[in-house]
Amino acid sequence: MVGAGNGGGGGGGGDMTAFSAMVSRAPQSRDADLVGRGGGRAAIRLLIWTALWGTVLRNVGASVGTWAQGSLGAGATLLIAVVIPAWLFVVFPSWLAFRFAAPRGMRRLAMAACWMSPLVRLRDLPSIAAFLDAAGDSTLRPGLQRGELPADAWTALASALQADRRRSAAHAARIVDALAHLPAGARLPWLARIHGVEALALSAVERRDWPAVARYARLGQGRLVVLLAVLARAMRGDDVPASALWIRWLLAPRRLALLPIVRALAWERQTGAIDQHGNPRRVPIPSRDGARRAKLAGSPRDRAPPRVPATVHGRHVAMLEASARHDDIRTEDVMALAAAWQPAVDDAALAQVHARALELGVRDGAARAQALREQVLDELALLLARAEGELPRAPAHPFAETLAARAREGEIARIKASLAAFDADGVGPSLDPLAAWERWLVLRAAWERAAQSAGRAALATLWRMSVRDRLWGYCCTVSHVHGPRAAWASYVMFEWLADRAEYVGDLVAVLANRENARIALAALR
Amino acid sequence: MTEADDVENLLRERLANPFLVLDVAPSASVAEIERQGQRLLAELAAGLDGARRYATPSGARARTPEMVRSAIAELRDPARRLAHEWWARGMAAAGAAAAT
Repeated sequence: MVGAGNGGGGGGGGDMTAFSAMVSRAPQSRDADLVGRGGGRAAIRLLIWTALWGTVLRNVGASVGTWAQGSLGAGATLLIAVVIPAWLFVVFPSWLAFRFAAPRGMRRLAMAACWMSPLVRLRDLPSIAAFLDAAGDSTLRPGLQRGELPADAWTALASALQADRRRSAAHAARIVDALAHLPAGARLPWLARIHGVEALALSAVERRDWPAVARYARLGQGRLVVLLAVLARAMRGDDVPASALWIRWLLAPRRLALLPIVRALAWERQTGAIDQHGNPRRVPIPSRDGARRAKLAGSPRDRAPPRVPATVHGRHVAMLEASARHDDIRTEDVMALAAAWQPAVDDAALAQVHARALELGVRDGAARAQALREQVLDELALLLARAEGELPRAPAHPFAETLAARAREGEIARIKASLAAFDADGVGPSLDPLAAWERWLVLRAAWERAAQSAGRAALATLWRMSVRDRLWGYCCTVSHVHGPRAAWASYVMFEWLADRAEYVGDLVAVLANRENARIALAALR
Repeated sequence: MTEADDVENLLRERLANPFLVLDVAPSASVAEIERQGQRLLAELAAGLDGARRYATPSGARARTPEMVRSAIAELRDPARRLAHEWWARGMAAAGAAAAT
């Protein structure tokens, strides 16, 4: 790996022009041994596949041939001789693992089926086992038994699933966002996109967190994920025809479990129990098991959006409530709220507060009035930190300008606070690869937020003063300590480092970290 | 503490505004506040259903004797009352507008 080094004894991020090679990679003999063992297992797997499927094909062919006695047409012959065996060989094992065995807690059968599946790489099996443990565990253990687990897409999804069940929505969202923006070459396996994301989205459905369902569904694919995405849109009040709901439901697996929700929504669409804004009216759900279905479908209060309050204080509380519910809030809505606040916290308004303070006998009335203005600014800045969208470059009024400046300062402060965790000397075997990657996620999220508002100059300064060497050294140490188990995580982090270095114009860091990423990618293959 | 925790704490603070908890107008006098507080404490001790919940812009919320005592204490301090009153006036106006 290529690491950062000081040139000429400069401190505090001064002359970072020289770079030197860090400690060497793990000994070749250990790699060769691993390759040998891995290659042997793959060969045995291939041998067993060939023997098993060859036997199955032969028996099927012989049985059908005997039964049909040449009466089958070309289509039927193709279906029986090609399509069905291909499905049996390619799709059936993963179906058996994820659709039959895993939901029933048959972990060994699920793992055996995964081993038989050509869609699953041998090296993914431990990670899939960890994912199945996380998916099947309803008792919410404090964390995955990480031990020797690699950091990859499966273990990341398992961690996101546990975070979602613990209602650590921010942590789950960071993982999902990182998985949605993986560099080319970092694997998010097809089965993970289907079954991993399904489990995550269903966890959010159980909590009736429809914004989270929509976020998770964007990462995945498959018929069930598509159905859940459509349900999330319908719950948000989008115009989704009942026919579209039913078609998606018919095509999706787990139809029985989702029937109550789909039926409730479709009934609302069909009966027109939707107001002019596409919001469900407060109507009862007609079914025999109304209470259970109402619980699954969500109470009308859960789904009906709040009325827009008439005063700025009411709007402010409503936005806090939306943010606490993890609804998507937009930067432009927060800035509109800030514009509405301006007349309520301007000099004339604060003079009235000062007058009231005198009536109440408050000594430092003017300072108290100003403190209220600062309180509103701080709360709006907190809302902005959780809002989607870029800050306006030229805020329309002074209050918004102050708010935007405060939001930018807050973003920079969050990046600096997250850097405290990146101590390369503190990275050892006790910090597993997944935990190391998750630490990086916090910095990544803070940086991506700041990139929307802080501007290139501020980020370039922060990069050179604080982020560059610290994060670079951390990533190199993680890669060295954990080797192939951290290859996926290292590749993702080095690519991110190189991209950010390119953004701020640090060519040395770009070249070195592209090389580091190439080395990590080679270890992945 | 995460940002999510901060937002939830803020929301809880707004919805537990002493004027809302005590169900008194922001212009209520000290005596009216004390009388209302004692009345609510007596009703809660008697287990009356009407006292167990109070109205907020986000719907009814549970009211406990501890909340009532805390609200009375907050409104005894003029500086703290000033801030609570400022928020309560705005939220009371929002509630009145919603009711119409």
